[in-house]
Amino acid sequence: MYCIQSASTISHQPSFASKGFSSNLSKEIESLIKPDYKEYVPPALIRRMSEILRMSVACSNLALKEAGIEQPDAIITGTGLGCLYDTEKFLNNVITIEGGLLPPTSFIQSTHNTIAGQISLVLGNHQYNMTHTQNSLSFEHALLDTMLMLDEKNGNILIGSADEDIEALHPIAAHFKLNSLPLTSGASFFVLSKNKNEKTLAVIEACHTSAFYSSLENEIKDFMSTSTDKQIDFILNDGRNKDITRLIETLFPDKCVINYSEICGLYATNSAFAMHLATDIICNKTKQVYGKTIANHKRALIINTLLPARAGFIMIKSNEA
Amino acid sequence: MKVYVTGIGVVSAIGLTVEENYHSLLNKKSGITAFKFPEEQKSIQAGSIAKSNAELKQMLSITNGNFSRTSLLGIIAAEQAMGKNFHNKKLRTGFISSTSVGGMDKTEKYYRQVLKNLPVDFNLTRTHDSGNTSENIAAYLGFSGYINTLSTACSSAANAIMLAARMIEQGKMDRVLVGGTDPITDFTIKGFQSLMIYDDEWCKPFDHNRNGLNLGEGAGFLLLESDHSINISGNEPICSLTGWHNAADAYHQTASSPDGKGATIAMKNALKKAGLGPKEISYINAHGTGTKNNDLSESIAIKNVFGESIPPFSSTKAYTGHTLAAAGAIEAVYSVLAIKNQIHFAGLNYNDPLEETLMHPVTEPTKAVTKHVMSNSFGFGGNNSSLIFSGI
Repeated sequence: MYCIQSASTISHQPSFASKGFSSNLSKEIESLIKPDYKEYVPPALIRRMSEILRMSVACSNLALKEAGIEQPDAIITGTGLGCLYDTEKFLNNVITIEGGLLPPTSFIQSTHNTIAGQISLVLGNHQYNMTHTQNSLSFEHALLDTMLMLDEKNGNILIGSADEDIEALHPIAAHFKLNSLPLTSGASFFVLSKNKNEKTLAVIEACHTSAFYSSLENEIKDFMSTSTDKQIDFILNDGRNKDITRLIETLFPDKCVINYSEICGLYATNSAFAMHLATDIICNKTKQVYGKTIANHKRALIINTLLPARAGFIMIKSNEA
Repeated sequence: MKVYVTGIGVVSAIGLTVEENYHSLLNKKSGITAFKFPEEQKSIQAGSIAKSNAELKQMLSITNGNFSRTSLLGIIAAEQAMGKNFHNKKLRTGFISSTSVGGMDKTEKYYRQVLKNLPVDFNLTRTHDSGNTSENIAAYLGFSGYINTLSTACSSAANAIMLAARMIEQGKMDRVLVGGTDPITDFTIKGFQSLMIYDDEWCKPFDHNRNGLNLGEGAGFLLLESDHSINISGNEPICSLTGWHNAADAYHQTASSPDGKGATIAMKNALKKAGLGPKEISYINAHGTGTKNNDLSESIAIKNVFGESIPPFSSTKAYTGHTLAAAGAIEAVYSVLAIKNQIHFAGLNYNDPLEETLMHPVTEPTKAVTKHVMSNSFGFGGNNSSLIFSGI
């Protein structure tokens, strides 16, 4: 069993430190809603940190606190595009500054594993420290690694993902027509454990990724067939591709389908936002979510097809189920 | 469940095939030479591969599509490791690659156009993300399903190999084609120069007067299989992967701790996983970048683990340059070759030991009984990994 012991998200919705946020979603995607970072990130570090690092360290701090864990037994992260702010900053210096040495900080902070590395530094944690980067499926791959580790041993694993929006992305997104929804930033962290207890918010039943599939319908059916109880109460679908949304509505005719990218905006790991949203809906039995009605709160399916021919599925259920 | 190595592939500054790499290692022939990008004034010492992207594409009969150099190098090594194996519906086959900069070679070109207000080719950005790098390799070889990428700087490929082994051990996959790839980029050269750890001359791993690293480029891939997979594929195992561990140093974002804590934990737990005592390790292919900080920290960690009976060890980075994410896979291939050929490879450019540890690396290729080989890979963010390969 893979129990979600805590969940923490910074996004363009009022999700941070806000249980029940699923009933309080804004219809408009506002700017990133940041907490007072000083409460969650060592103040001496904040100044040098890019937004992706601030979000990640703050979310991991709160996720650990809420799970009642001081030291996780592993730190596993996913990021689609990594530390873009520092990457762009250093690249800019590489190209524009001729001769002489460049300031190293943005190079140091440009690697994808700066996120997990910073968290281990802040905690003084010497455990398994991993970074998955498979574009739109980076979060799912981090989650699969976490589930694999919980199959191997007991423990509390800090798992999360983050991506940040920077200005330099916008002309590229516009050129490839990837900006039908606003490009946004977000980070979500969770503590996962094998053992259910009073802190357990929900339980992950299965996760699967598939690249270069031939039929999405078959992929969904195969994933559903691995579940013993096929009763799904609601679906969180990324919703970027209208044809896929129609397919899902056809495959699950009576189910409430919520398109989560409309809620949190577009970033490579926004399925982690969806997992927190689904957890919040299940825990709080939220009936009205973003204008949709959810009658039952036992089991949710998250379908991520943000990029063509790449699918991620997560099934989670209530801890009472 | 056992994890067997049945296929290996490598492309680096010392060769485009496994045989060429082995030949260079045997003959102490470094691939590090003067190198410079057209935009730059000064040349540096680096382990570049003397093939243009156009030549690499020609080798692979690729006529269209967007491929970063990262993917092209990866395809060459991955294809060698896959060998004559075919996709088989009876075998669940995964693909895991790793890279530190993804398609940065193309992104640099795009961003130069942007900053110089030139007409921009947006297609250059299509290969930027690390996941794309792997997908292009996987697609070329006809993979679908589980395709994943790890990025933990210089330990990336070792971690990919570890993840593949764990998936096989837990019965999630029957076989995994796994490795890593990185090109030389202006971004990484200037990055290591900004940290003042880029040696203007040849790097000197484990030498008292070492003065930094030289970058290199390349890719390494391995085919890992379970018992079940071998029964179906009929492949002969070259060796098995018996130990692995990853630990965070949690000391500094780039520097290694003076007591080598993370590296010590990684090596100790890899031994524990393999069920081996320190005395049973025949040879260590060290991380050995040639920076003052890494080589001292790694030497101390080796002492922490092996005490006074330190196994023969060397770093092969003076041959290939530091290939970043690919290093763990290229050196895994060299570790497999050490077992296959019962040999310890020689370090280059070594004169005097570190005065703090007085440890002497192997300096001549040495034929010796080689049963268990440890391969170390340490990266930014204090990301430390050790793998152990064992003879059958």
